[in-house]
Formats: sequence, structure tokens, C-alpha cells
Amino acid sequence: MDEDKIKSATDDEDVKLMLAVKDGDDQVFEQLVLRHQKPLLNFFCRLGVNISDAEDLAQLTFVRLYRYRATYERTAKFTTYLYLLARQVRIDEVRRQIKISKVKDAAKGVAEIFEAASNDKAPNSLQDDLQVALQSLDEPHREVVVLGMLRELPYQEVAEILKIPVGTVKSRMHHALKQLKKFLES
Amino acid sequence: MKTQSDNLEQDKDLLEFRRLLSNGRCKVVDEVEPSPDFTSRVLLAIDESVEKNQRAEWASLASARNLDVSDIVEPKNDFSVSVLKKVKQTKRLSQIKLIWRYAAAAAAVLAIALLVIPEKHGARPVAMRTGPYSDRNLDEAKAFTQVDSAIDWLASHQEPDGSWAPKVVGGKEAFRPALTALGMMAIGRHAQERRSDAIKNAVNALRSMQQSDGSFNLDKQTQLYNHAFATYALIEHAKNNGAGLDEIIAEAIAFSVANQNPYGAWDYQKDGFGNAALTLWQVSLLIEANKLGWRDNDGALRRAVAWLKRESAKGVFDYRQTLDRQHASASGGIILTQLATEALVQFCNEKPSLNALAATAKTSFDTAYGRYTVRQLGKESALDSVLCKTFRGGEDFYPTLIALLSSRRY
Repeated sequence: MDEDKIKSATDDEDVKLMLAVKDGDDQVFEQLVLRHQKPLLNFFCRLGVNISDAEDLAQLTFVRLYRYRATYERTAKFTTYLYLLARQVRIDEVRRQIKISKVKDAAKGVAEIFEAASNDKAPNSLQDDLQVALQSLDEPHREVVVLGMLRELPYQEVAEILKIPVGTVKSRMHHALKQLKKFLES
Repeated sequence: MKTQSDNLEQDKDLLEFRRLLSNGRCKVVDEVEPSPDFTSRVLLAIDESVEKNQRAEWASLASARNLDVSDIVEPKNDFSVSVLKKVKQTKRLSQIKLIWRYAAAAAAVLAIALLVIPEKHGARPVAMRTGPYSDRNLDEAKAFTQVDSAIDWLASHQEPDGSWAPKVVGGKEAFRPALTALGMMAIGRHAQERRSDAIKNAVNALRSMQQSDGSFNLDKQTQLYNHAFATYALIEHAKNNGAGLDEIIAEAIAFSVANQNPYGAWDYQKDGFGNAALTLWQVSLLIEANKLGWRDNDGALRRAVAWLKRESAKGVFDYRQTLDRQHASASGGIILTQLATEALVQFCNEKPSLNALAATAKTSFDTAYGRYTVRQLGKESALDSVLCKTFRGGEDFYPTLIALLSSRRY
């Protein structure tokens, strides 16, 4: 399919740039930032992060991408690697916020961490119906919708980013769409 | 690997998702654009991260050779006497050139300080203790007596409406809001109780100067300049007195935020490239506003700090950045650097992405050179300069008044 060819060519370009950075060509890193800054920023925004913090998280993601350049290997698509880092940055930041707000139980799972952090959210700049609908989902379901429906990453890639089986991605998506339908039609 | 059935299933879900949005008449806004300066901020953060790693390497090299790390680290962000120590050890030609520049700047500052002291005070200014600027040769009683005299002089020149009039000593009328704000702050920091009436009158004067758009100004040319000082003064007053200025301050902050340029800075006009002094005052007032409960939801403060970071690649500031960023104008640059590092250290404590900057800023702030500079300006010379050249504006007034404002009783 033509669309697949285009996406594949885009990924090839990203990988080529990243490998050049790995080889020491720092100048091309800026191209990677320019190509992915907007989708990455909107990824965080759609997860419920306010735009100011979303830019910070996006910045941290790129810094981390650069820091790990020496270990980059083309074992997956570039966007898989990028969103894996992005997700980890978000988790680390939420953990840090929780530490700051002195939530006692540090051994919570990821979903519980996000729920606790959501008690102290700054207003999101994306004030639209879609965002309200997304906020009605819990974090694991919101993630699959943002990655699979808004970023339109293939389910296999979503599975790799979230470190869950493809089957789980599909069932979460199915559940999420059902929830969204209920919410939007109510 | 994506299978055909995965494709079909996802395509089906995508259709369903889009149908839900359109059937529900779901409002969906366009995707957010990153700030115009986002890419450069990322690249700068990466530079700093690289430098931090380099310093760690140098630290272990230094330790292996039984040296202090400051002996071998190439100065990038230090405007300080510690540069001299480093050069003594390494004797690199490029660093020797750097010393002469710093020495020239130091000589210029000393010359300025000596020139403004009237003969009756002798050749050396009285050293003072003001928080971080400790010195053994303190004549505190004398210094504070002179501060009290200066405050009385200021209060006696206050207009009946509570403002201070620049024209009294030959200054421009357009700067009345800024001058009123500075007078109010100077009195507020040193004679809160003794001169409470003067402060109250100044607050009323500023209130009357606020326009319908929330700004404090008497003309468009000097709008953002006046506004920064006036807003800062009122926020400081509200912080110390809880004086019921919430609405005025909220409108003023909204005006500030609305007039930030796309690069994250402020200038005399909104379409200016950015003026470090004006930006620093805005940053400072937003930091103080944050303590009163204002939240940086739109990222104005964060963008401003990022601009300051970019403008301080070599750790110094000037009204408008010099080309090589290593040499700042003697008086403006040093004082602005001092103001900048104070503001940045306050702001950077919470944000992980700015921790490196906070550490650098604190180093600059605490440098021997910074302390030397402020000691040489001295509270006494600042007072004399204010009394002799007050209200004229320009560089001969600004740095000395800032030095006066920075000196607080502890």
C-alpha cells in the first residue's frame, strides 16, 4: 500500500539520521527534533499533560534520546524507540511529582501512580471534547487510544512501546472505544 | 511485524473512532504547535548535559592528578576570580586573553565606584554586609544611618499624590510609574513601619496609573519598562502586607504575559528581540507572583527562563547580548548578571531540566568577582549616587539603585 511505503520511507530516514548521530554527526540531531517535536508534544498533551509541562517532557525525551545514542540499534522502528523513551520520561516525572507531594506508598503500579498524580493536574491547553472524552478513560486505555488512534501507530508498535502483548492492545482498544462511545453518546 | 489481519482490525477501529467523533459532534482542536524556541531549547539542554558529563570526567582526571577540578576545567560559565586560578595552572594563551578582559571590566567598575564617591567619604567605600556579601570590615551602624538618611530624603521628595516626579531632577515624566515603584520598594525594604504613610501613598499613586488593559504606563514607548517595575513593586508589597491588591495584580500579570515576545523575552516593545533587564524584571515579578498563588499554566515564566539560559551562554548578561558573550558592559552587565542569577536560582529549584542551570547560576552568583563588585559599589556609594544623580535614568543611576535595592537589613 502506498501509505505503508511512505511510512516505511519516513522510518528509514529517521533511522538514517539516528545512526548518523550515533556516529558522531551531532548536527543532524536537530532534524530529528524538528521532525518529531510536534507529534511528541501532542502525545503528552493528549495523555492529559498541560502544554507547559508537555514541552518539558518532550525536551527531556529528546535529551534522553541523545544521551542513549551510542546504544541505539535498529531493532525496531524509530518511533517505537522514541515513544518508549517518552513514556519512560512521563513515568519518571510522575514518580518524581509523587515523591514531592509525599505520597507514601512508593511501590504502586504504573496505573496507580498516574491516578494519584491526576489529583493535582494543571489545566490542559487542549480544551476540546476529545480531551474530555480521553480523560474519562484510565491511563492504560488512554495510552492505547492516543498511540493507536491519534498517532496511528500500528498495534504491533503500540504493543512494543507499552510492553504488552498485541492481544492486550486490541482488547484495551476495544474496551476504550466502547467507553468512549458511551461517554460521547451520553 | 504487522500482519494483514492486524491492519484490517486497526483500520476497522480507526473507522469506528472517527465515526464516534463525528457522530458525537465532538469538538476537536488542531494539534498544538511547539513554541518557536523549542528546538533551540532542546539543543541547549543537550549542550549542558554534554558539558555536565565532561565535568564529571574532568573531575575524575583532576582527582587522579591530585588537583582541584577548578584547576583544569575550562571556564565556560564563570565570570569570576576562579578563572584566574585556573589560568595560573594551565597558562593557556586563550585563557590569558580572557583574564585581561575580566581585569579591564573590573578596572572599569572600580573606576566608576571611585568616581561617584564624594571626597568627604575618602578614597575607599565602606564595606557592608548584605546577606551573601559578607566582609570583615563592616561599619554597619554607619551604613544603616546613611540608609535612613536616604530614605528620609526620598520620602521628603514624594509628590502629594504619592508618586515621585522625574522632572524634579531633570528626568523624563514618562518614567514616573517606574520611579514611583522603585521609590516605594526602597522605602518598603528599609522603613516599612516608620514610613508606612509614604508606602500607602505610593500604592495609591500606582493604582491610579493602571490603564484599562492592566498596564502601568503613561506612554506607549516606555510602557513595558514602567509596567515591569510597577507590577513588581505591588506584588512585593502584597506579599509583605496582604493589601487587597489581588485584582490589580492579576490584571497586571495578564498584561505582562500577553506582551511577552515569541522568543520568551520582554523588550520595550512587544516585537523587540528581547532586553535582558526588562526580561529579568518580568521574570522576578512572575517568580514573586508564583509565591502569591499565580501559576505558570501558559509557560510564560518557563519560556523566559529558557531565553535567559540562551542569552547567558557564557554566564554573563547585558542589556542586549554582546556578540561574543564573554564581555559585558562594566556596570550594566555585572548587575544584570547578579539579578539574573538571583532570579534563576529561585526559579530553578523544582524543574529537573533546569537543575544544571541553577547550579551554574549559583556558581556565578557566589563568585568572588561578584562579591568584589558589589563591595566596591558599596551601599555608601550607591546612596551617594542616588542622591547626586537621582532620577536621571540610564546606566549611572540604574546599577547603583539596584545595588541599593539589593542591600537589605538582615
